[in-house]
Amino acid sequence: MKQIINAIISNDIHQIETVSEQLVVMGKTFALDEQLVNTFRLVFDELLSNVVTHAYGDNQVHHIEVRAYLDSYFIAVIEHDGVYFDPKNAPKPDLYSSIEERKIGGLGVYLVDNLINEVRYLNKENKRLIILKHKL
Amino acid sequence: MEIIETAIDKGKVLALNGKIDVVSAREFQQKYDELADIKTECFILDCSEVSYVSSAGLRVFLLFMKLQHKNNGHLIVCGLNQMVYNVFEISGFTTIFKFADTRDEALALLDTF
Repeated sequence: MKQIINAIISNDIHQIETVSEQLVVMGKTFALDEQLVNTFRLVFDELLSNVVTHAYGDNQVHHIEVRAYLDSYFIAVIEHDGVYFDPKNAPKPDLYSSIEERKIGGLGVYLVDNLINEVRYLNKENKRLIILKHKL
Repeated sequence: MEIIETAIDKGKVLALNGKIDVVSAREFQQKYDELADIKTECFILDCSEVSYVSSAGLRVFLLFMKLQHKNNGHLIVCGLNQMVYNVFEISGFTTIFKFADTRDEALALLDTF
């Protein structure tokens, strides 16, 4: 299984672009379907923006590491040292209300769950991991 | 994100471009803020050049929809690629938005309102 991406970004929303660009390069290098690559870009936008926005209560710089591997699966790991996100406590998205009452919260995590075959959130002693596995 | 605004008889076409992610959604929101106080009968959001939309972008689509609903106006989203349409569908947006395949179809649809 080849490691394709190894990126370390800081907890700055603008750095998510670095990962997005590497996913585009991966797609071109391995001739992946463009819409699949865009699905991965969307998923990383959701997960990394959640980490950057919610995982840190201080004003310090933190590092978030992204690794991705490819064979017949796309496998990716996001590793950070912020607060653990427990998917059991994720707000349920509002999918059915009328236009006036429709709320937007919880859609990001819900989208990731629906777009990627397998998503796991792990809480290790000194690090938090999000692991993605998707059949190519 | 570049947003090209074109006036039409009944309102405006906004042609969106590229990815609508957590960063570029802010520009989309700015466009919404600019337009929210002006009552516009119809908006067409042309997404033919949009590669993907994350939840931060979906939020702004919903703001436009709520605005038009409040003002008894109309909103048509056109040109979504399959993946973006799929994201709208998973998000429960296909029950509250109107869609057209192309801008021309969206304009023709407006004439029926």
